[in-house]
Amino acid sequence: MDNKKKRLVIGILWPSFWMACITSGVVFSAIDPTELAKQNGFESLSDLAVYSIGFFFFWGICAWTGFFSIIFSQRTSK
Amino acid sequence: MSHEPNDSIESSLFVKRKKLYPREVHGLFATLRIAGVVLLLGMFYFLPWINLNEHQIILFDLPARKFYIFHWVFWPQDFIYLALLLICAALALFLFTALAGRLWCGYACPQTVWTEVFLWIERKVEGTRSQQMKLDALPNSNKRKISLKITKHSIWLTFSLFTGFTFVGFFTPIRELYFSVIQFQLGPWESFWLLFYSTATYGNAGWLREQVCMYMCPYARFQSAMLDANTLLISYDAERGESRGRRKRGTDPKEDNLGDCIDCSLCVQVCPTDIDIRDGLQYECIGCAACIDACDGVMEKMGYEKGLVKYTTENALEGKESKIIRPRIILYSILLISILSGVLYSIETRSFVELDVIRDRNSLYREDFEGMISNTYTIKVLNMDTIDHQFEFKTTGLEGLTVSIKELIDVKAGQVLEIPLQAIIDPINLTEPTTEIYFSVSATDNDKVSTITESRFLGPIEP
Repeated sequence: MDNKKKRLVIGILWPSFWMACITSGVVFSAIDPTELAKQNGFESLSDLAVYSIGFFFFWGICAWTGFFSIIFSQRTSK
Repeated sequence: MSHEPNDSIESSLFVKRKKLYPREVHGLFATLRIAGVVLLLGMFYFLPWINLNEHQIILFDLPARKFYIFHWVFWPQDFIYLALLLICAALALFLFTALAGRLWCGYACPQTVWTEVFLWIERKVEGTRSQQMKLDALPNSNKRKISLKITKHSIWLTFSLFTGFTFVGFFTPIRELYFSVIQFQLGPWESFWLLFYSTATYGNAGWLREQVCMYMCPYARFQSAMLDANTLLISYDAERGESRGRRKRGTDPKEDNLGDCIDCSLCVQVCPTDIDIRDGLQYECIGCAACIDACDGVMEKMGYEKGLVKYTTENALEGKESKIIRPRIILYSILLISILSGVLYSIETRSFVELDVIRDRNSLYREDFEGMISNTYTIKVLNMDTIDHQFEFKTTGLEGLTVSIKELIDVKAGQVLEIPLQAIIDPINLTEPTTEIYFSVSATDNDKVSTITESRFLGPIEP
């Protein structure tokens, strides 16, 4: 991976990491992870597992947004 | 709009990093920073081991969705306090930045604090700046180099693992965590977060260091917007220092047209971000004041007045009058103090009981064979206190209303008690189709632990 690509990847992952932290905090203060797991048929998941999966889910979504921002800001080939 | 790629400029901003060897420094500000390191890391590593009221003094108990902070217990419904606390933190950052620039970065930021510890370990193992540089210049096959590098990284890794363990200890009771670790029975998620935080510590404080401040920190990018001409910043007094140059002891520098700067470059050697403070204010400067300490030491040796590099304002450097206490400082302070005291007052006086009343959605009311009218509710009593309570339950607002539950109910600490409730009344007492009624609970041992909730009673009355 060249330097420019590396920078873009870090530039996507790093801000989305923070957004995932904030989103997890807000969402899980409103939603009980035990209830969430139960409603979706994952009774065996521990709360910590639900929090962690939720965190990575948000991280992924935020990174996805960042990825598209980069894609759309790139010059299209003529 | 031009879409020309600006690669040449961009890549010049991201030159290949050269390893920095910040020189060790002693002095007033170094002492202050070390005090900060000891205080903050001391709190971080020791607080989880202290118990208060049978709880860890600071515990973010995610599974139970309860945060224990000192003698307070926070529930998800207290989220507003977290939001307010973040507002306070932002205001404090504005205040301190306007007052004296990057105080946070130089003394309190975890990145600075942990890097300081890692640098200390590095110096203990590899020696001083010049010894480290000599060591790195040796070929990688050198035995002494290999053994010193292995020692350093082992200590760094051990310290990082302990840091990761402590971090997880803020979320899982640390004593239980300790026993799971020594018995190799750590759950998969706990292990994951432990390793995650350890890796972050090792990577950020051991390897990335100043690059975190230069490329990853958002605050570094926008802090300059909060500075003004009256902000105390670390600056070099060019008027006094220039022209810089080496000199012999005992000669009068003025005769050679020299200023007070002897161009010893110590201020550059101690800089953790490798800038020359004599070039003026730069965005890489984290305000650690290492250059002040270094320069003051030199000035003392030379017998010159200290403060060639010092905290000063742009106005002062230009010979104007500088005003430290100015409207924005006063405004930030007033806002900060009033919000903070409001939050503390509200936390201290908040009620530790919550009462939710949910009306049965299936039927408006029911009429029994005797003609009595009843409404069904679900009552939820939440005891947010750290001790068990007995509550007196009361219904008011409607004369002649009787309820199906006992007058005294026991709710354990942290328990949510859910009770179905039927309220019955003789229709002669009803005058309206909808009457407002009030349910209240009040702890028998402490009448401050009480709350009242409004609901409605419906009956077959034509409006």
